[in-house]
Amino acid sequence: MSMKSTFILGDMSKVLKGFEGKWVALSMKDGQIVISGSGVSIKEAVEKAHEHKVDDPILMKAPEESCAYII
Amino acid sequence: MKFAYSRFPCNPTEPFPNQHSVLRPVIDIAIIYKDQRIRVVALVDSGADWCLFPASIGEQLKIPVDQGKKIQFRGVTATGMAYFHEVTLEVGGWRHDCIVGFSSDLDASVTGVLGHNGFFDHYEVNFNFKKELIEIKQSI
Repeated sequence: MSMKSTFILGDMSKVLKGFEGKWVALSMKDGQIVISGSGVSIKEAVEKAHEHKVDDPILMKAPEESCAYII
Repeated sequence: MKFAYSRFPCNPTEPFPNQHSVLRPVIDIAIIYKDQRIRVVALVDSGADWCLFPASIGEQLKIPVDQGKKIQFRGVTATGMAYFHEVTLEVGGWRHDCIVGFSSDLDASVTGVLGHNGFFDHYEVNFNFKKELIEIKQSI
């Protein structure tokens, strides 16, 4: 059985604005997804999240370009 | 376990002039290697043969990425080299061991891709685009 609740990302189109091409550390605040740290590297994003007392952020690379994927 | 599709920005294009965003089947997972654990967003990609992540994620997990067994992979528009290592993936509270690839050729694009070997061979996955839901069950 599943034990953990999922982290609903939802609409990232506004959250990621201004972070194109950067690593971002995501967390929840007041029921909303927020960026608790960002940087050119994962390490930098994690360190900034830790500075904001977020110990276990979810990391993602914000897409560099706002375009469709064909992977 | 149900996951919602996530919406990402997308510039309008000639064939889709009114489209400003796209829905993608991305989910949050954790990758565990020895005593290291990292949570990442990954694309559920039924067109991918393996699970692939940027090399920088492997390095953050203290994996000696370049020491893994390597495979050259090919996407629709690009190729790259990936190094494979055994890790544990945590998906919605379930855990399983598998072999995933890490590649510096992915660093500029996506955070991670969940493909057939390592993901779809462990779960039953149903995409419901209209309801914007991805349902994942453990395979029996």
